[in-house]
Amino acid sequence: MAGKNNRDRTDIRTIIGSELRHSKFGFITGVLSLVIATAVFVASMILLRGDELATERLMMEKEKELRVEMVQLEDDYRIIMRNMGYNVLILSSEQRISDLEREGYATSLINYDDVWELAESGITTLNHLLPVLQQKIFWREKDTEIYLSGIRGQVPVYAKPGHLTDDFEYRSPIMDRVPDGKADLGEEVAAHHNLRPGDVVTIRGEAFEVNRVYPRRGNRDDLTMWIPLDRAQAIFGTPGMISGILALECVCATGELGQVRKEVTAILPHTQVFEFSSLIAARADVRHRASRLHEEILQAELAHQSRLRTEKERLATILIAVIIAAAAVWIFVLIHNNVRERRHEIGILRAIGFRRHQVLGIFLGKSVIMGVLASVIGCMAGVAAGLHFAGYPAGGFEPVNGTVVAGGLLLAPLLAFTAGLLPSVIAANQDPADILNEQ
Amino acid sequence: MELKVAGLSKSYKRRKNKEVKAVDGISLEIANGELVSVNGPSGCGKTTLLLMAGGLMSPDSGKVLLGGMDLYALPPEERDRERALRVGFVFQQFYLIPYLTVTENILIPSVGSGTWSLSLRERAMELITRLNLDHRADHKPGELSTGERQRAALARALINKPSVLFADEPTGNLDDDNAEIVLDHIAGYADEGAAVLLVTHDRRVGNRAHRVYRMKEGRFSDN
Ligand SMILES: Nc1ncnc2c1ncn2[C@@H]1O[C@H](COP(=O)(O)OP(=O)(O)O)[C@@H](O)[C@H]1O
Ligand SMILES: [Mg+2]
Repeated sequence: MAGKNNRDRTDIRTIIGSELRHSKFGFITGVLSLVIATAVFVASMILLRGDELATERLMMEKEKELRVEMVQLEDDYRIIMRNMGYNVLILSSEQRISDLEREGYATSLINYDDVWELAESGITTLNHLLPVLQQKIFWREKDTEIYLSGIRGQVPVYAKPGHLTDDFEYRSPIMDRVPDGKADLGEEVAAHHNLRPGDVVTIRGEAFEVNRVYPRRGNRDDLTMWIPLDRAQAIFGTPGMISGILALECVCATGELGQVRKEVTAILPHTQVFEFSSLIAARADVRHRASRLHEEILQAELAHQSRLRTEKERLATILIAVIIAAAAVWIFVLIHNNVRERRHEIGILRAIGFRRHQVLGIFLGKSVIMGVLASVIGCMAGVAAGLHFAGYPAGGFEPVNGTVVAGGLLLAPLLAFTAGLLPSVIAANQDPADILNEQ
Repeated sequence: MELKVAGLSKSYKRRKNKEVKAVDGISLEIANGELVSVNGPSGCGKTTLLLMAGGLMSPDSGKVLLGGMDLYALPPEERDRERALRVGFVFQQFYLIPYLTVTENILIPSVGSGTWSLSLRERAMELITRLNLDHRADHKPGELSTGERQRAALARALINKPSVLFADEPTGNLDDDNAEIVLDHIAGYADEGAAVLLVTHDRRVGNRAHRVYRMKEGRFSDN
């Protein structure tokens, strides 16, 4: 027998609770329909959001790819430019052009350290500094005149790490360094004396193994032999000195001719700078065209993705609307039938003094309880399904945001309230006399 | 007078605008402690009279005074309240709530009137015992016999100690033994000091009523 405590209190909640337990089919199908509506809503929102995030990621990857491609393109471009030579030449300010023309090489030297000063100055308008010591000499051993060039490889400009490998070497140097004890040959030098890689040549008493032979370039390079800088300095008797610095002007500087000159002479006041602007202009043009192409590809892809998303959003909207409508109709039918079934009970409740709002509360309370229960289950199911179908691994909650969850939690109770309101009002307004008068 | 009914009339509209005069100018007074029985054949207007007297149906004309209060002069919400506190109903079909236990069914009027209390619970237990429903207290109506159902319905009608009890054919579905029990309890409640209006065509009421009215076609007939 029931005890005399508050748990035994009979109130509206008792009525609602007992009724829900009593009509399990209606209760379960009602909750289920709301769960489905909520889950579909939440899952669709998550899928759409996940899709958006995936697109963003894709676009970011594409951009990164393009950036890599740009660097690649620049490298390719550099290889082309190698055949055209460098476009900036830095010489001693004392070098007279007439001497340069007459001798074919710079007669006034600068310090090898100058190239490092330039490299470490933070200058951004130059790339690929190549210190060169060059003279036209008579090659006694072969009875011919050649240009003998000492190079040590390019010195990176440290302000431009983008072009450098992890070892601070150029990704694709214009001019490869010459290994110790070896020599690189221009095409005509090699052809004329029938030299191939692996042969040993002697120059001024020093032996060098032929490292490689460059293809014909149609310029002075064909008559040149390259050896390591320090060996050239020893041969010429000018340790620590170089003829000048070859450099490649950065495309960013092409807008303003003379900018490089201003910057270089500020760092190395004892130098003069020669710029060859046609090369600069050609380079800028190549690069602009490439970047415009990339921009177009990116835009086309963006437009495609956005069209796809609009399509998906429209589909989701229709699906959600249909499911919500179905759930609403079902709740309406359930509560409406329930009201009809409970006609006599409503009559007697009203007869024994239940107010309209109490009857309303019983039926509306019932549908809202179904809604609240469904909102929790539906949200969890929707989040799980959404993440699953969006292809997120366990623990990945990236596309789940507060708005979606709040919307999902509110949807079912609001839906149940709205759908249950009309039949509940009908129940509350039934005239008890009409019901009790039926025989 | 606990219940005073004066010149009550009610017509129902049938199809084709034909009117049926269900109750035609009935007056009636019931004092505390008095059991009044209205007898008559089916369709003579008994239920209509009872619903009007109980505050559930507005009459076309006439007045109902409950404890001196003019019921139909009150706004509907007030009338609901008065009914919850002062009136009890028993019907032929019991109208128990199928998903609540007998105890919960008996206590349900306290939800409407907002009068739940521990002492009310005690009263429910007392009524359960008095009506011999102890073994049924936690059962649902579906598991009860018709006699037990009507006793449960009677307990529900009495839970708030109404000053007026209305019973409409309370024995219509009962066998003789159960009819006797229910009629005895209804009469007993009048003896406790309530005014009781019993409408029925059941002759088993016998001499329990202090006064008996015969009803025919909406009127009390002489005799
Ligand atoms: N809601 C209604 N609409 C039309 N006619 C009704 C309605 N209720 C009762 N009646 C008619 O009114 C008369 C009295 O009915 P009622 O009060 O139920 O009588 P009783 O309870 O004595 O059988 C009957 O002729 C019945 O058919
Ligand atoms: Mg009747």
